[in-house]
Amino acid sequence: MQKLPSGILNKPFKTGNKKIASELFEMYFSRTCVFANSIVNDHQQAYDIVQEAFINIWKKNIECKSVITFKVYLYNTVRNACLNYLQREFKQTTEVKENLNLEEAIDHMIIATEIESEILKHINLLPETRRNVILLKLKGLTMKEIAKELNLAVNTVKTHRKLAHKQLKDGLKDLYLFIL
Amino acid sequence: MTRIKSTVLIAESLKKYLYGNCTEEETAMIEKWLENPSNKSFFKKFKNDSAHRMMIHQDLDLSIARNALRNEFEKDRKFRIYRSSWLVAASVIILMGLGTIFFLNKETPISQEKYIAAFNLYVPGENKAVLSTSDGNKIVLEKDAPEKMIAEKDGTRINIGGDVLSYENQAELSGVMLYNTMEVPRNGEHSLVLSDGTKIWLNSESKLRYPVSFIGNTREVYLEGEAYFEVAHNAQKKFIVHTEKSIVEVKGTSFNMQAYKGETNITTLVEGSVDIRHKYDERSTVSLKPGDQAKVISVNHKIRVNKVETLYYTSWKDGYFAYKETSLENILKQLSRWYDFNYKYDTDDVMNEVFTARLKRYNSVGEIFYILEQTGKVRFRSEGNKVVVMAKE
Repeated sequence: MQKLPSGILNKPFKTGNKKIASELFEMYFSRTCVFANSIVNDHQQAYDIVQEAFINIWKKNIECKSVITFKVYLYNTVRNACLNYLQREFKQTTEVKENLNLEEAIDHMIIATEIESEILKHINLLPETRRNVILLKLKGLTMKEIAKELNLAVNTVKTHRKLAHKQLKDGLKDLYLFIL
Repeated sequence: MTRIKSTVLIAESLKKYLYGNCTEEETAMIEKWLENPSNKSFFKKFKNDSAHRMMIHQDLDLSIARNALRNEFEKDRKFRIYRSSWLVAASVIILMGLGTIFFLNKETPISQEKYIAAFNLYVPGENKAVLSTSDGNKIVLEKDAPEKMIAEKDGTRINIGGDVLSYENQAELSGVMLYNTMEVPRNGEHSLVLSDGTKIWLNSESKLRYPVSFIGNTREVYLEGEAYFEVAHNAQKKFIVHTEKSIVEVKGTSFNMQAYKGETNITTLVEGSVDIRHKYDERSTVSLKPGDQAKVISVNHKIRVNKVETLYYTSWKDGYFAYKETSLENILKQLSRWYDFNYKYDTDDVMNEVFTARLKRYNSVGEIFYILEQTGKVRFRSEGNKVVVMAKE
């Protein structure tokens, strides 16, 4: 689950600070794994690549004017590491880099990851039962299965779902369309 | 502007756009971006995999990566300390008496850093245990838990929290003896002070059952696993330790006992005197003098005594692993309990290799493996949830 930001990333920062590095890790590790996984299609590899990226970024003590600078650096590092891995592992030569479709797919993955993280942030702000109903729904469970899982009546689950959706709609505005 | 940078900017603007708080320039940028047909079709397909990706995101276990990062923080801190004093650094690792150590071994390109990273799954043990009170309640004792006091049914007060659990002495007691049990898991250690003032250090994967207050003519406790005892002197009340295989009678003394299930039962006397015997054979009784080590021989119910340097058997309670010509198997038995890992041998004969070393108990296990590898006798590899031990080619 994502932690709430403490505000220390709202002004310029350096990634070599342990507090900053920890907060960056908590906020951005998961989404970066999803991004890496969509390129290498291997959970463990993705995890390792991202773990190493975070350690390196901490070691390099990069000066960031804002979170955007950091994100650009992070996505770049992970993208390159993923492509290197594919090259090494599958002997895909430089064509990969020049493959426009791949570049475009990477762009789209960054955008998808960012939007999904935003949506998850709102889901995680929901009260517990509403949150669980939404998460189980996303997992593809039916109302009946969710009711069984949470030990609630189906109608109660439906009420929670309705309330959750109302709250998400208020919070997410048009972003809400993505999880309909 | 790099491609990634413009993509990140688009992502940020897109979020704002969808929230409805975009500037005009940002809106223009988005609209231009959406003119591209492939971007448009990406948006149409977006929802298809979105739920799946969000679930990966939500359910990801960060703990391994978090530990790896903290490990780096820690290494950095240590590095700063050690740099300031080579003497400290030198005292961390003192490998003694082995002609076979090649610190400049050209055939081992694996750096210490890689080694530490490979095994960062396994962290050193720390203060933790579960206390079962006489009414069956279980209290989890954790590192840095706040201090508090609880009372047993007979009025004995127990101080919980901090590094040591302690029982307060009651002046006059009679009636039923109440028992508590302290159980230390793998990856843990804990110490306690009994109501008579006896101090006990319990090592990983160990269990001690004892009365909250001692009534009657003896003080009797039951041990499974490893413990170091500093028994408070009381000539009128003998202190007796029961284990699976042996019984040790004490008057007032310091000694270490290893009594893990299925392993050799070893008692090492540091100070004072104790009598030890096989559980089922009173005639096997032997009196130990300081520096004596008794091993219980199961087959013939006998006790075998050797002179040893006790330091090698008690150093664990002072934060060290000290080995003198100790077999790899015995070293790994100890390390695996402390760092909580499983291991297997690639080739069996390597388990009988012996090592002499003094290692810090709170260092990462990767550092320890690295040091052992430097002897040129053995190599370690992480494989799934196991450590694989190989002979050095």
